[in-house]
Amino acid sequence: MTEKSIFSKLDNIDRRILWLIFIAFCSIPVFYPLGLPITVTKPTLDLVNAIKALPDGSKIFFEDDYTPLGHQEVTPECIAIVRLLISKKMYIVFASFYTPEAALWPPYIFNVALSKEVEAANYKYGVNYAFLGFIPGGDTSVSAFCLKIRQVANVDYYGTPLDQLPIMNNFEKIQDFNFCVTSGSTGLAGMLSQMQAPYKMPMVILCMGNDYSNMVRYYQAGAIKGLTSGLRGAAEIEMALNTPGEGMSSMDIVQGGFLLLVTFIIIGNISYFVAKYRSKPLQEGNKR
Amino acid sequence: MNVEILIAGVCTLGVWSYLYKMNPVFRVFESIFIATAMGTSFAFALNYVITNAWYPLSKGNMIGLIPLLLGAMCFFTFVKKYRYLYRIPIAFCVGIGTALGMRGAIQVNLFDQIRATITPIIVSDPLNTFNNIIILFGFISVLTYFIFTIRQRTTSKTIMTLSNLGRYFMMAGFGCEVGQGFLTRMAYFNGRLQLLERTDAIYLIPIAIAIVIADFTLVRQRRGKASQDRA
Repeated sequence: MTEKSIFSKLDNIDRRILWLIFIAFCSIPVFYPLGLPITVTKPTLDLVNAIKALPDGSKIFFEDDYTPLGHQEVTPECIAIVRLLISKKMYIVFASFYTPEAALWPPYIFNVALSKEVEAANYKYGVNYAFLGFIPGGDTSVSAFCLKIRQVANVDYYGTPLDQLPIMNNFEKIQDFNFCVTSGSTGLAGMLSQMQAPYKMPMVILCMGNDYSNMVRYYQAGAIKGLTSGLRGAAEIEMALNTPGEGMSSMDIVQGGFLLLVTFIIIGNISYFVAKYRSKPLQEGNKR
Repeated sequence: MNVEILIAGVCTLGVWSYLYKMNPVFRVFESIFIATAMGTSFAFALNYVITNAWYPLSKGNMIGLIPLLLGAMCFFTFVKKYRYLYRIPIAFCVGIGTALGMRGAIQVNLFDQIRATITPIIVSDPLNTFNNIIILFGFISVLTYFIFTIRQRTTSKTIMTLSNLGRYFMMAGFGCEVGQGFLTRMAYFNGRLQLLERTDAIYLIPIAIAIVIADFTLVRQRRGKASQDRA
């Protein structure tokens, strides 16, 4: 019976042990925050500055398109940005074109997550902000919405006719808005091609982590004013605005987990190459 | 104790039970998740059809009849005799989708990208200069990798080197995407972990651990018995 080396043991380690270590390690920051450093990247800083540069009381179109899967990542970003918009007394209209469940997020943000800020700023539904809900049709709907809002939306999320909402009297077409915030995953390309490109609408994107590398080219090309992604993006926005929130408090877990994964990858690679190096001469017939 | 939080905790642990091994509990929660997502989507879509097509139609606005008829024609795919009819709404959607896609996509995906690539290499900021050099080399090498009209192996060594470099650039890009993807999954995990450990759902963790230990012990006992029987 041959004695197994530590590297071959590591190579064949039960994945359940790895999961156990992973969960245990990630649980540490939940109880004892580590305070790992966060730096604000340039795309996020540009995003925040683009919104800060808008005059108070600007009209914002906020497109949110993410499923409950993206809730954990994108909602903290949206909350951080909506907090900034409220502080600048901006008029905000929400809609989603690609994901039906996305219509649930704006009411959650205003009625649950930011209820205190909304009350303190004396924000009124229908006067300062409105939810148009889900408008199906994807690119076709976005295009029609840009031309004439009431072509595709007659009522809001709660079923109230748009004509009964005072805020909607200011909006007929997309050019009536000063700025657009797009969040989520599915609708980003469509929003860029149907809203930003034809109407030169100033736009920023709050995307999910796995969309960042796809979206960064639009930022570098100047199509969008700013870009941020995922929970880290939320933490960066909160850092830039000095308003600690869910993003900053969660970054320890995310960064800690990432560090552990990198450690696993390094150990895994070392054990793989050592095992390969040791088995090679034996295969060639050279006894060690 | 919040019942909703407890239900969310049970669902989370039910799905995580897959990490231990494939089991019926995981299958149940997987089905619940898919069914809920489908049900929500269906309810939203139905609500939209009712408010934007059915109500105006009932008030005498006949324009809503066209999308309703086109939508209804999709169901002819289930009737063999009239199956050809479902191609009409599909053709309608594909035609409009392609036309709309062409309009803006060329601007943002082609013209803007080309404009962004044609930048001066040396600028005042040394880091930006370095970035521009990487963009230049990355662009040329990746483009060389996709030249299929010349047989690369029979052409010059320079083209082969550039082509290989292009492959490494692409691998680096894909690696970044995988890393970002993992960061996304970490965010999901973080949300669930915080739900389990910062709320009343924390009481579910010892129960889950006890179930796993009991199952593990039972399985070991059964294996031991089976090997004894065989012996």
